[in-house]
Amino acid sequence: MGVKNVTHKSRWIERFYIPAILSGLKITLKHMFQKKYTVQYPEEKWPVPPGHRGAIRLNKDEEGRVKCVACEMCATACPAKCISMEAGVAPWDDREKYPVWFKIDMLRCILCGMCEEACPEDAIQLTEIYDFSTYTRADLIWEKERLLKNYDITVDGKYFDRSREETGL
Amino acid sequence: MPTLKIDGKEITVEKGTSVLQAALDHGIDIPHYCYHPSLNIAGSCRLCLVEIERMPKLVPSCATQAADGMVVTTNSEKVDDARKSILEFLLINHPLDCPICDKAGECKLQDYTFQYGSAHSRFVEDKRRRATKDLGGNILLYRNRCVLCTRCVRFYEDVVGEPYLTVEHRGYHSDISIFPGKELTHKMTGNIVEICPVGCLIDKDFLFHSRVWNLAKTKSICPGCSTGCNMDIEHKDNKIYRIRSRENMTVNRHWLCDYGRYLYHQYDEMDRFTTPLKRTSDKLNKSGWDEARSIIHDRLALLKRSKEIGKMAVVGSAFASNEENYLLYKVFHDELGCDKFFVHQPAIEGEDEVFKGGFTIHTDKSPNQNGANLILGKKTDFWRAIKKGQIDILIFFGKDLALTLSDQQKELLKKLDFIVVFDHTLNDLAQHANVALPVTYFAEQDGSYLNAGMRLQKFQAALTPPDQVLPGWQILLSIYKAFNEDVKMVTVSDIMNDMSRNIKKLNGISFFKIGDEGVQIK
Ligand code: SF4
Ligand code: SF4
Ligand code: SF4
Ligand code: SF4
Ligand code: FES
Repeated sequence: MGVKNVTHKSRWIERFYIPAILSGLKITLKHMFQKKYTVQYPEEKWPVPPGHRGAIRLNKDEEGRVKCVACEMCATACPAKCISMEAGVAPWDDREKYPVWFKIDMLRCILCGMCEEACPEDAIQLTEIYDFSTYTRADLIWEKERLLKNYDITVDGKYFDRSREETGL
Repeated sequence: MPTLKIDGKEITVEKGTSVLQAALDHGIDIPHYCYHPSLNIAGSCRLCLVEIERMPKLVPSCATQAADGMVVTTNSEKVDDARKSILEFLLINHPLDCPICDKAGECKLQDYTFQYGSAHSRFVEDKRRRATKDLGGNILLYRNRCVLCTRCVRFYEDVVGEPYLTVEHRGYHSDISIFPGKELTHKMTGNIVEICPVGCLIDKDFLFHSRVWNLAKTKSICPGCSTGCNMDIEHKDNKIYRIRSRENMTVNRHWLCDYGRYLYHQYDEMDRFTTPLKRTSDKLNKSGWDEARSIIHDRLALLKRSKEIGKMAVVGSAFASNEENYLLYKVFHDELGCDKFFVHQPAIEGEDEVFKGGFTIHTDKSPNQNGANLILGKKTDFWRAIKKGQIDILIFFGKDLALTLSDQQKELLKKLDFIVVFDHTLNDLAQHANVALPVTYFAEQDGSYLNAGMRLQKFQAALTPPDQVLPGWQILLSIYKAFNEDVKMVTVSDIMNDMSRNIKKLNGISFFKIGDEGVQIK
């Protein structure tokens, strides 16, 4: 294949640049009067669509105990292999097995939601929390306490109405 | 020998074989609960129903002997239907316990329901609930989960020969129950957890410790006695979680005794030393491999030059692998010319215990006495030689967790000039060592044992040893190579090959040829 040389000769009006600048200004002007899409984060929060897969929480039962029964279905299903736990005999009369400790490495989690899908107890769920960046890596290894706290601050669906201080994160 | 057709496949079997076993042996799966090759036939679960030509009804394949010309179908619509119904019946009162049941992942009710059952339940009434019972020993009975196959009941009747469990009540009210006044503390009890096809019998020793699919399996041999039961070490993160039996019809069939099953705890918990130790004045201090090796090497080289090798005794062990005992012989006999070899073995008291089903627990609590005797000769009394003052230098390969010495023996050790000990813990003997070397135990190394029935069996490393602990054969091999540069052996398998060239009885055997089930030595 040969090379084809194309030459473009600008007309004198083009070389004058004024029309181009004007047409740019016209677009800017148009958008000034249109609906605005930019969200003024963090003063303003992005409205999360239903089914959004954000930070993970561990649900509680009616009595406020961790709902998880340490079956490891989530850990088995997790493609990132970021869930680990140790099962033990539950300290309650009406339950047999519970997680002595439960850990999710959020650095590795890809927020795919497979764990939620696999859980037979509705004990693990992804929430609307998307703003969970931290200053250290260690802060993103979440233990049971943190995961249960995520439940407390998201269970009423008002996470984004809370101030940073109120969530205590 | 009858020839029959199962699902169009022509099969010839021994006379007296059941249709079920014939199918299983030839890769055709027929679901079953009550049938177990080492137990008497019960024919009660009805899951193994098949269609046989010219028989009016479906027949239980476990209770039907294979006959010449039989035509069996295991997957017709009629059979599928029957299976589905039986599984549905079993699930009526079965709780949805899989998430908290230790059997999940190796449970036959899960597997069969997934394969042959229905995905939906039509049962809307309340399920029957029965409280979980502690049967004593290590056993929990989750009564809700039972499928009443009676394997556990028959195990005690057929294999142990002493009944412990029974089915109480009849029909819908049937319930596995223990005879009054009894507890499941019998030596063979752990086996019922393995043969229970569901999660009804649960081992407290493993309760909630791990999901079974997370465990890796390594083939091993029980070091608990000279029976040499075949077993699987199930481990995760360099830790043993449980031991299960591995089928070997000529040695242990499907069984393990509880001593062997839980023996790994003793190794787990032993107070071991993990670096080589050397003596300075009257204390044993930490050292490194280089230093320990050079102390031993210098001393042995001196001995070789001074021609006083007759003053040395080498004690192999009935707890050590054949490869380790063999290398002791190679190094100290072939290289140094020592001729005083002994075997350390545990004291043997009482008689072997033989159960109704033929399973034997030996009183010889070491795994490799036959192997050690074959390689090193049958002499055991090195204490007498020490007493007579014939010995200055002692090389002792221990690995016996129960080793203790009398005061008199301790005094005798003080007369010696130089003692090298290969062991796990600082026991009575290791305390007197000049150099103590930390060696691996059975789960951390490869090797082979020769059991009481002269069966050569191999075991494999499941764990990585901690800190500076090394397999005994590796240490001996490096001492050997320091004296003889021509030694080319590198692995346990090389040692085995060398051994089978030099020991007539092992002629032609290699690590590979031993296989998973071992070989018989004449
Ligand atoms: S969201 Fe996906 S990656 Fe994250 S823990 Fe759950 S299964 Fe694992
Ligand atoms: S799947 Fe659910 S119940 Fe099971 S361990 Fe995970 S969170 Fe717990
Ligand atoms: S406890 Fe297990 S082995 Fe015994 S009858 Fe029930 S299901 Fe069978
Ligand atoms: S009979 Fe002997 S070899 Fe078998 S499991 Fe018991 S201790 Fe181990
Ligand atoms: S296996 Fe045949 S009836 Fe149970």
